[in-house]
Amino acid sequence: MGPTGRSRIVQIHPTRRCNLRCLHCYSSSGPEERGELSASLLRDALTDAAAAGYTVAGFSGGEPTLYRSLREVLEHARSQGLLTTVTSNGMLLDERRLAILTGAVDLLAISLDGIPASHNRMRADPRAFATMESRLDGVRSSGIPFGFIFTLTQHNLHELPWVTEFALAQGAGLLQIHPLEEAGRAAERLPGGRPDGIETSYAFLLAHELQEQVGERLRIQLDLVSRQQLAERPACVFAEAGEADCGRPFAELVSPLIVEADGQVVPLEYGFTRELALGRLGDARLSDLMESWRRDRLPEFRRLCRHALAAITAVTETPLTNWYEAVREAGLRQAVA
Amino acid sequence: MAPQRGSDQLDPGHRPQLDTAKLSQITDLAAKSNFHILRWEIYGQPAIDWIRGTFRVPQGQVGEMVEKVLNGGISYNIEVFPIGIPKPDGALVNIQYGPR
Repeated sequence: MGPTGRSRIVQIHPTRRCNLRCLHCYSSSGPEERGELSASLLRDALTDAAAAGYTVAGFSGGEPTLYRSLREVLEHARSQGLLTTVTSNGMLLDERRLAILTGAVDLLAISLDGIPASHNRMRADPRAFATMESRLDGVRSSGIPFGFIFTLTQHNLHELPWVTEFALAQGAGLLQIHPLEEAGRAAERLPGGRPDGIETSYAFLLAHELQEQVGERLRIQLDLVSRQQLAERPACVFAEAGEADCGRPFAELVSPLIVEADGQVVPLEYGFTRELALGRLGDARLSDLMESWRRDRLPEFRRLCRHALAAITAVTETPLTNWYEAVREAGLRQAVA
Repeated sequence: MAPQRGSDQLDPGHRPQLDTAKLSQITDLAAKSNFHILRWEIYGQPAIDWIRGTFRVPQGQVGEMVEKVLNGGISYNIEVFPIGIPKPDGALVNIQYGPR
């Protein structure tokens, strides 16, 4: 099963170049970054990912619209039968860049971190909100389905109703609420910003309330799960007992699969422990990396997932958890040990 | 000054007060709604220091529950445990009224 449900996701970071230097950026992207993956490397990786059973290709960054070959790789992903998503800060979505995306993107996700002042503070740019907002008319006109991504912190839950209203008013189809993870630049710039059990519990309740208010006009997705549900369904997080069925398609063994901007391929999350990395694109094709990882690293990966699940379910004070963070921290502990 | 948690800013005009009127408000909430009280504990006698309750809330009514709780300024702390396999058919909602 896995944490992404029926969708099997390969998430690609073609570059860490970005027009912003956001406080909460887990990939520490910024304007000074120049490296990017070649289009031919990514085309091959997408071909292999589709053959391995992946169904969605998500492009993030950095700011993916700064990647020069974005249209080419999006079209290739589509040609392989993959749905495509692009996550953007929205500031650069002018007519030219929207034309690059139009007809090649199934969902455009735009970051929105609260009321304008909060958004600008998180984005470290006083023009971030106004510029993003000024692009939304063009986004709507393009016909590209779009949504917003809100990063939940310890301090911004009270802005969620405003964010919901804004998303509705702009005609978005999705509002995704993702808890802050103290990784990358967030670890330095936002210590203590990760929402605790009380905030995540309130977030769960508010998300329910808001979903009931808005009905089908806007889908609200909260990236948290109940510890109890995980304990009852360990296969959701690759933590079921026994050995993995090695004959299954690779996408059923690992989803999401992450391609980082330096070509490193890792399970589950950007920055995941290198102990369990598949390897680097360019050193071998993704299909070969998958096969050697399946042979050599899969049992260890499964053990790590079981350790993460055990750590999660040992906590009884709070009911909800961010599983991705738990498994990343378990990986870091393992790397240290 | 340390930044406030977001949930503390959700309803700044309704900070809970420890009095029996609030206790009545909570019991009325359950009586008038389709919420079933599973556990109910009151700490501190004769003055009430804090209260802890667990409600069984049918699926689809969690939002109503939280709206009443938050708008009523009743709770300092709420926890939700979705229940039901494989599809949640309800939730257990823990409410603690009093100091964290």
